[in-house]
Amino acid sequence: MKRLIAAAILLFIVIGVTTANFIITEHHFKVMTAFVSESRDLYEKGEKEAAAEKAAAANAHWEKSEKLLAVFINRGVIDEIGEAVTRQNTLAKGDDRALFLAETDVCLMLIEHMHDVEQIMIY
Amino acid sequence: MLSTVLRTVIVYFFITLAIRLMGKRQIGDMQPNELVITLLISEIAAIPLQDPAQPILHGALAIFILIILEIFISVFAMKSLRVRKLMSGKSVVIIKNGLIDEDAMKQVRMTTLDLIELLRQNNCFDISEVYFAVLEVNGNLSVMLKPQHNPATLKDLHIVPEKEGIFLPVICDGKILPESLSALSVEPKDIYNILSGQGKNVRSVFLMTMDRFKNYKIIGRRNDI
Repeated sequence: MKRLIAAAILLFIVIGVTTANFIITEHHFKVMTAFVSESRDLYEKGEKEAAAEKAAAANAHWEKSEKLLAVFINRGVIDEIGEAVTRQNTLAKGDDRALFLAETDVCLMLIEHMHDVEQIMIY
Repeated sequence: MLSTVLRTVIVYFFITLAIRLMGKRQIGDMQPNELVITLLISEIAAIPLQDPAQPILHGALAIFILIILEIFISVFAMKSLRVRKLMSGKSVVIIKNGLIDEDAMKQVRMTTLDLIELLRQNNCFDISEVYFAVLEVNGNLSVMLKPQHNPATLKDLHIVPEKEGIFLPVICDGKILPESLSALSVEPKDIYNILSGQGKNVRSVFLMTMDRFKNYKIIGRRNDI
């Protein structure tokens, strides 16, 4: 009976941690995707300052959430996204449209990949 | 470096918890599913230690899930014979009424030499003395000798044994063990009385054992002998 209680407690912990993991990752995925996409849209509309602001907001948000996400996500993935977001932030201030858009796509792809980890896959 | 140290300590406690929850069993006594879980735990535990980028939570959760599976499966196996057979297999009678069952040996892929070796491990050096031999699910062979080859017991010799109980350690390394005292229904003052009668104190005793009839043995510390 004691073991069964221990198993139930562990099950509760596992469910709690995986749910927290899902909610936190989903939240940061949405926030980051919104920032980066808005930045791209604004850049394409020619509003470079606003685009740069959004990119800077994305960068700041990522830096703030890195530590929490490291509990759930591989550090390598977090660093990769961090680098892409920083590059996108820098490029948002420049005039190289193609490079900015390419980096934005990479950024969105990496963020989506981070989110993929939380999708149920058995392959 | 500090991270590796901390991760190792954390994983050590996770594995210890896992093994404790699985119960006290030696590798040789494990059921197949327990062995699988033990192997998996050791593999999973190594991942966060080898790759510092990997969150330790992933390893911990995987270990937790294995423990949960193990506990639930063992509970189901206890309640259902079908689950028990499915997870652990069933015992196979290799020697029945003194006759070797070759089909059973083929079924468990056991050679004659394997059988003889397992019999030797059971202190049986002559296969013709065996009446029954059962290969248990944990791989051990249980052997029953023919009646004429069974060692004589005190009952066979019509000897009434003297009363004897299990000797429990009551003092270990200069410290009284309260669990043993309560198991023997002995008060600490009884122990102090015995020791003072011999001119000793608790700290000067390396080991003191006692049975339920209050028979005791005292081994002093090395510099006391």
